[in-house]
Amino acid sequence: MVDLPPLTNCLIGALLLVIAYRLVRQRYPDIHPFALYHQSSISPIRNSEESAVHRSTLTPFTYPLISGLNIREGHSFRDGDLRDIWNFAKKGKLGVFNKKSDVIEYHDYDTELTSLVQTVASRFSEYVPGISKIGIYLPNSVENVVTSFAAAHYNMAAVLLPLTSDMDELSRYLEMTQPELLIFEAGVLDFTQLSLPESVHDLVIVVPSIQDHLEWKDQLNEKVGSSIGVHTWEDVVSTESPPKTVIELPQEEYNGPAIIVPYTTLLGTVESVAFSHGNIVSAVAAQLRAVSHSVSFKSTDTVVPLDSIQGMYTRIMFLAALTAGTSVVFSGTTSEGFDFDALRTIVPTVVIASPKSILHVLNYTPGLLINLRLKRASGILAAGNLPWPVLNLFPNLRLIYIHDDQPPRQAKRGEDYNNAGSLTSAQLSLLRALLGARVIYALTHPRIAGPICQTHIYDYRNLGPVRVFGPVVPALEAVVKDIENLKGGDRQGHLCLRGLPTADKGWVTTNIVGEWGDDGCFRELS
Amino acid sequence: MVYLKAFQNHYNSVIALAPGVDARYIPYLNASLGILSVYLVYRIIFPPARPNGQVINAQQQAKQKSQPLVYTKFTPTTLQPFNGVIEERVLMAVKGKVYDVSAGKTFYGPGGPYSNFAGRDASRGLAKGSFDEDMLTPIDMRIDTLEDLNEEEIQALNDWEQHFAGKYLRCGELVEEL
Repeated sequence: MVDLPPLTNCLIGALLLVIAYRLVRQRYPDIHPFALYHQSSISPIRNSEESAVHRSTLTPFTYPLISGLNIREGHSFRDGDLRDIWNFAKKGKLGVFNKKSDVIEYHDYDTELTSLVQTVASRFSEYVPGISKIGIYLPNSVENVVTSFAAAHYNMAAVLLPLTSDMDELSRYLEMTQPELLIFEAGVLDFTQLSLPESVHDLVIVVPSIQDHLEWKDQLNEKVGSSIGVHTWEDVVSTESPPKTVIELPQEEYNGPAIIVPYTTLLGTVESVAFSHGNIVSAVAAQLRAVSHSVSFKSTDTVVPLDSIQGMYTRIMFLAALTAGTSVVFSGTTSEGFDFDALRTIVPTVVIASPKSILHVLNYTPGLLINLRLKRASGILAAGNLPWPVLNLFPNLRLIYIHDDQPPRQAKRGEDYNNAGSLTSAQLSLLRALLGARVIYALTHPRIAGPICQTHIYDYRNLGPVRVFGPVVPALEAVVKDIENLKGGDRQGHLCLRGLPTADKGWVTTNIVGEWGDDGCFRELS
Repeated sequence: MVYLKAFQNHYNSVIALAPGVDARYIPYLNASLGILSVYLVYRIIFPPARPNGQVINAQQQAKQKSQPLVYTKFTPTTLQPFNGVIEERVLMAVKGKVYDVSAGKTFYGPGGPYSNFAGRDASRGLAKGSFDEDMLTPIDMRIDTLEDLNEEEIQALNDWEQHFAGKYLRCGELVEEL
C-alpha cells in the first residue's frame, strides 16, 4: 500500500466524494432524446408535389384521429358536446379576481351558474323569439362564460367577436356573422361609428356597478333608436321578475354551429368560420390527450387565461381546463401583459398567454447572480430536466401555454414581414429557465379550432433563433405542399391540414409556410 | 507534542520507504487532483449547455430515416422493370393497385416461387391459383378486365388483395396510359 501525504489523501477523498455525488444525484432526462427526435408518425408513401402525411405519434396511421371526449354511456362511448364539458366543469370553480378588494370571488357551477345559464337563455329567447345567434363582445368574465354556455345548451350559436377597438372592423364582423342579439360591456362600443346589421334586435349591456345601470340604458336607448331593444345584465338575471317561461333543457343532439368566429384574412377580406360541437370537443379532447396525463390539467390546478377567451385558441384551452375540472380564475384585466399584482394573489399553476404578454417576462433586468443562475438553468435544460425558476415571480407556476399570433408565411416581394408576435426556440428556452415552468408553444389558424401543432411538453431543446412548433395535434393530419420554389418532397412548402377540429371538408389549405424537421416538428424555414 | 513528532518521523520514513512514489511529484499530483475536483464541482453547478452525446446520437439517427416513396401511376410497360433484376424494388399489381413487395423478395424476387409476377399484373394468376407464365397478360396488350372470372375465383382474388393490403405498402396504381 502506498502512503501519501495527508493533503493528497484529502484531495483524493474530495474527488471520490464529488464523483460519488455525481453518481447518486444523476438525473434521467424527463423524456428520452430518441422520443424528441421522433415526434411525428410519418406515412411511408407520399403523393408527388407534397410531403408525406404527418400525424401525432399518439394517433399513428390505422388509428382513428381523436374525435371526442370518450364519455362512457353503458357499453358504448360517445364524443360528447359542450354540455358535457359544462358537467365536467362542475368539479371545479370559476373565480374572478377583484382588483379593488384584492380577493378572488368564486362562483359555483352547480348552485349558481347552471341556473344562471337557464335564466339567460330563457330571457334571450324572450327578447328575441327564435334567437339563433348571440354576438358576444365581452372580456374574460362570468357573463361571457354564462352567455356562451347558454348558447351551447339551447342550440344557439355564440358569435365570438374579436375584442378590437376599431369600430369599422367590428361593423364588418357583425355584418358577416349577423347575430340577433349583441352582449357587450358598458363603455367599450362607440355607437357613433359602429353600424349594426339589421339582424340585431336586442342589445344587452353589462354594467360594472348596479347603481348606474339605468343611466347606461337610457344613454344607449337614445343612440340606437326604438327599433332595437336595450337591456342590462341586471335585467337579464334579476330575480324580482323571473322570466315568464323557463325553457327546458333540450336533450337532443346538436348538429348546428356552436361557435362562430369572424376573422380578417391577409387580403383584408372578412370571413367567418362556424365550429360545430363535434369540432370543439375533438379539439378539447386532443388537447387533453396530447399532454401526458401526469402533467396535464389537474383538478388541483389554478388556470389563468391571460389572453381573451374570445380568441379560439384561448377558448379551447379554457374549455380543456374546464373539462379537467380545474379552477379557472379570470385576472380581471383586458389589457395585454402580466398584471403582476393580480397574479401574485391568484397564484396560478397554469397560464394561457399571448406572446406579447410573455415578452414582458423576457425583458428582465440582467445581473451577475441572475446570469450565473441562467447559465446553470440552461445547462440543466440541455440535459433534459426542468430547472428551478431564476426569477421568483410565480412560485407555483408549472405550465405556460402560448400561441403564435403571426404564423410564418411567405412574404410577398417588397413586403415587410413582421413576426413581432412570435417567440423563437431560444426565447422559449430562456422563458423555461426564467420561470422554471414547462412551455407549450402552438401554431394556430382561424379555420381550425385550437392549435394545429404544438411543442412537446418535455421538449426543452434550444434550437436557436428559429420558431419551432412541434408535431401536429392528435386530431389532425398535415402535409406541406409545393409552393413557388419550395418542394413538398424536401418537406418544405405550405401547410395543409385535415381532421376533426375544422368545419371544412377535405384538406384545409393555409398560408402558413414552413418545413418538417428531421425530428418530425413543424418549423419556420431557416 | 511528542505524539505529533512521532507521527512526523513515521511519516517521513514511510515517504522515504514507499517504492515508486517520489516526493518531488507530490505537488504536481496535488495540483492535478485539485484542478480535477474543482472542474467536476464546476460541472455539477454549471452543466454543459450544448447537447450531450445521447441527444447527438438521437439527432443522427433521425437524419437517417428512410424517405417516403412517391405514389406513382404505372403502365404495364413502366411497371415491368420493377422485377428485382433491372430495378432493385419488386412491384406487383393486383386489381389495378400496385404493391411494393420488396419485403417479400424471397417469394416474389428473382428465383422465388412467384417470380413470374414481379413487375406484372398478377390478378388473373392469383384468382386462378396458378403461377404459370400464360396467366400473365402480355405487356403490349390492354390491362386484364377480369370479367370472365367465376365467383370462386373472384373470392380468391379478393382474399389475395386483402393479404397484400395488410402486408405490403400500396405505392401506386396500374393504368392503361399515363
